[in-house]
Amino acid sequence: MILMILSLFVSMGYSQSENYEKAMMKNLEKMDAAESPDDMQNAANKFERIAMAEKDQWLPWYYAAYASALKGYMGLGPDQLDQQLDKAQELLDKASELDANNDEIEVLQGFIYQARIQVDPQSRGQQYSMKANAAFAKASQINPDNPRPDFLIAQNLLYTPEAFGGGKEAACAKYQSAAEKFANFNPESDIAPNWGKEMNEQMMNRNCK
Amino acid sequence: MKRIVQIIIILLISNPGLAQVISGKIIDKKGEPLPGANVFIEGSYDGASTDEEGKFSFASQLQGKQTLVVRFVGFREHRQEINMSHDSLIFNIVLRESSNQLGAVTITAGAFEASDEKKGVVMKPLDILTTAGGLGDIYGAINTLPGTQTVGEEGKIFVRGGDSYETKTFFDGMLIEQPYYSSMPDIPTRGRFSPWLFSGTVFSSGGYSAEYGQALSSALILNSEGLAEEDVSSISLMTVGLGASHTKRWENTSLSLSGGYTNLNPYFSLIKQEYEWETAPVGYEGSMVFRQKVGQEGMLKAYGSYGYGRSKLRYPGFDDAEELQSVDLIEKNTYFNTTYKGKTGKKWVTKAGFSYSDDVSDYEIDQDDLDERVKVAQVKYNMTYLDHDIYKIRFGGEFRHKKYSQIYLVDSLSHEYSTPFIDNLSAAFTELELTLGPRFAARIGGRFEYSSLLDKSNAAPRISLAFKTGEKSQISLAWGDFYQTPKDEFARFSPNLYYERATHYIANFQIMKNKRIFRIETYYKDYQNLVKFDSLYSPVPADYKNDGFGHAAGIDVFWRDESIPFLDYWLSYGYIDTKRNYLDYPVEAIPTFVSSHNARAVVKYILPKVNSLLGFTYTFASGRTYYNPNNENFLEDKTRAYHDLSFNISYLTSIWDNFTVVYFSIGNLLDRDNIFGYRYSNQPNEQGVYESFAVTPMSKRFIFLGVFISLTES
Repeated sequence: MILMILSLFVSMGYSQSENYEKAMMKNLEKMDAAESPDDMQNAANKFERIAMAEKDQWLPWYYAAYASALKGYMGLGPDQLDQQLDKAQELLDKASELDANNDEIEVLQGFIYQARIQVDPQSRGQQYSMKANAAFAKASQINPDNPRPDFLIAQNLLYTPEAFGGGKEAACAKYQSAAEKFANFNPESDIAPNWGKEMNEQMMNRNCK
Repeated sequence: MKRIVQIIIILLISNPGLAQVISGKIIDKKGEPLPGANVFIEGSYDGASTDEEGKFSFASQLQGKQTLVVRFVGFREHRQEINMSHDSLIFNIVLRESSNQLGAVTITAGAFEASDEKKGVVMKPLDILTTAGGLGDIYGAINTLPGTQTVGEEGKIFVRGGDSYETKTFFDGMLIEQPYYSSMPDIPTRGRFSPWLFSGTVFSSGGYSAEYGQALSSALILNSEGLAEEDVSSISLMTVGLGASHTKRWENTSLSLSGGYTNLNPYFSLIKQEYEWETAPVGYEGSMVFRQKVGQEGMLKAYGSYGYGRSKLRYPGFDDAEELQSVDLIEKNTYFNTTYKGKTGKKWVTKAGFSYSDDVSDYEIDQDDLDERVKVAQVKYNMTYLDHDIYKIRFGGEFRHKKYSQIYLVDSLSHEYSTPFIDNLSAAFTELELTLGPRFAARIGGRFEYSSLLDKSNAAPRISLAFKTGEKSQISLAWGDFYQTPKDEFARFSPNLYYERATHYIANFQIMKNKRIFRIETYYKDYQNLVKFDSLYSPVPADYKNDGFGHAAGIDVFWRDESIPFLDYWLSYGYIDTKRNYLDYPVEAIPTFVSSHNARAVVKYILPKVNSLLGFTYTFASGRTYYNPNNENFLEDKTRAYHDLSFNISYLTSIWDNFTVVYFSIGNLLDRDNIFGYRYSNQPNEQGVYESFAVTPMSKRFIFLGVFISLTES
């Protein structure tokens, strides 16, 4: 009898966590398949709902922030982009409240800073590049094997004039370093951050041959 | 056992049958649908996003009372209790706009704001650095905005008919006693603080918040940078000197140290100077910037600097313009401030600050000595209560202790005049900021001051309002009283004076659309209690009276367009009608620092292929009055108009992999002989005529070349 109830509790507990992972997996697929800003918003909203229900998981906040930032790249005007990134930042801040020393959160922080540059490259370029690079440096310090900082730094270098240490050659060195790290990278779980590999390969094929 | 199994089976079977559909529509106040809003039941995954028509629908198996939450960017979160056992679960919800959303109304009367973080501002910090003719000086760039006068021989800002002493500068909220370097007669000075220190600048030409006092006309509010981003060292090589700095960033702390050396000797030997220098300006300076993050949102800042400067000029004498007298100046300035800003609980923001300044200016005029020293210590404390969307209440107090001393040693009389004084100024202010939806905002406040020197108090009410007139346009109004303790040079002789007073009335219309902004502002200013006297430097207290007065009325227009790729330009125009009777004026007259018409055009153009930014600034100012003792009518003579076209170029490159900016600037491309005014001898010559000389720029053409290198590790 007691065993029965115990096992019931265990299975309930298990099923909830299983439910969480399932919901996350399903929504990750949705996010990856998103083709319009609306699709991306739906995915971000779903992550936010999961986040609000799972009080101590940082990942749903992280993905809600990531999807919000990605939506920013789907053809928004400068004003809307800034507002969208404010939202992404707000969501990411929730993630870092739950896990203060996390390389993936730092990576995404740098990614959001890079997106801020798009709003007004002329006056924001230098300041936000510096902010982004500081975030990437922190991420690499926490986890030197994380490939995403190198990948995102390469993305920025590609569009930085050679005079400021950018250009194809500098970018390709970073893409290459990222590619090596991607090859050895094993995400902690099925739902842990694991993005950028395909894009890194595409960029290398396009620019570094 | 059997029963438990039965119950479980029943539960399992019955659960799906209890799923309820929740649906509805999310709209804004105007009834427009809001697509993309997040609608869900709190604590569950159950929810949906709204579609193009603002509609949503989702199923949930939850029972009993639940909370339905709606979240959407730019709107306030909506929460409502729902009962899952009800038959109908259809909700049509109107979301209220959050007042901090994009395009919400802001109070703009009088204020020009430069910020990286805020949206919809007029200028950005980088604009200050790249404005041709501004020479990297904050005040030089502010001088391209409407409401300011072109007073080339001073280098200070004169706002809307106000004298330069009527504009005050605030550094992180702390009043700066000596914002400019001490000046030589008719030689323009510069601001003491580097524009790099600040990430946000508000230039208010009137109607500012009750937090700021002791300024009759204008407040320049400078907010300093936060934590430095990364470790960096930099070197600057300029035609006027050298500089170096190093910044170190730790996790929650950053520290920058910098030093500079200025020497204008080489430059003066290359470029012909209109004035006769015995010693070109030479100086050195060191400064420190410290930042410490405290907890989640608190920030402790500290800034300190010390500077030394010396110059010696031969300048026409007061009694005889033909005879040059030597003016030797040594200035030593120490400045320190520290401020803390942090949150207490969720709804209180605390700001506290301390500042100290000590400025010693020793002038030697021929054989006479004039030593002036001003020491000021200030403490300030502010609290803000935020009810995040509707209102903010701010209140605070400050205390300023000022010790002034001047010793004037007249060699020919072997007599020493010493005129020291101490003033303790206590002030308190309170202000309510109301935001009633995104369309209406109001700021109502008041300020109270008591000066121990004058032994008098003042109370200044201030009100600003703003309404949206369209999606991108708004009207803003401001009214208020502004008080200022009389200048040191009068207060030291006559402590029984009253505060000088100005009342501002401002109406402003602004429209911002597609990276273009148009502003028009009209104002009226009434001046009362200005200090008057019959003869300058009279030591008799009763000779100084508060019966001066004046008025200023005008229109300021501003247009900026950033919509064209690689091009950015702004145009400003100001018309002013002003007269005053103050100082030793015998009648009401247009003061010498006023041009009725001021126009500026600032153009910046980026050449991305060659990594260069070109800048042009055109400045026009109609003629200014000057005092001519040969004319019976006071201040009835006018100079001819002032024209200047300045150019600068910033070329971005790298030197040994270090980011480098090469900056070149040149003034007066039109090759004009500009004249700011005339100075006359105090005594007529043998023919009974007062002789004069023209006050001109220091050199016909200003040229500046600088190379700025940042050395970063990466």
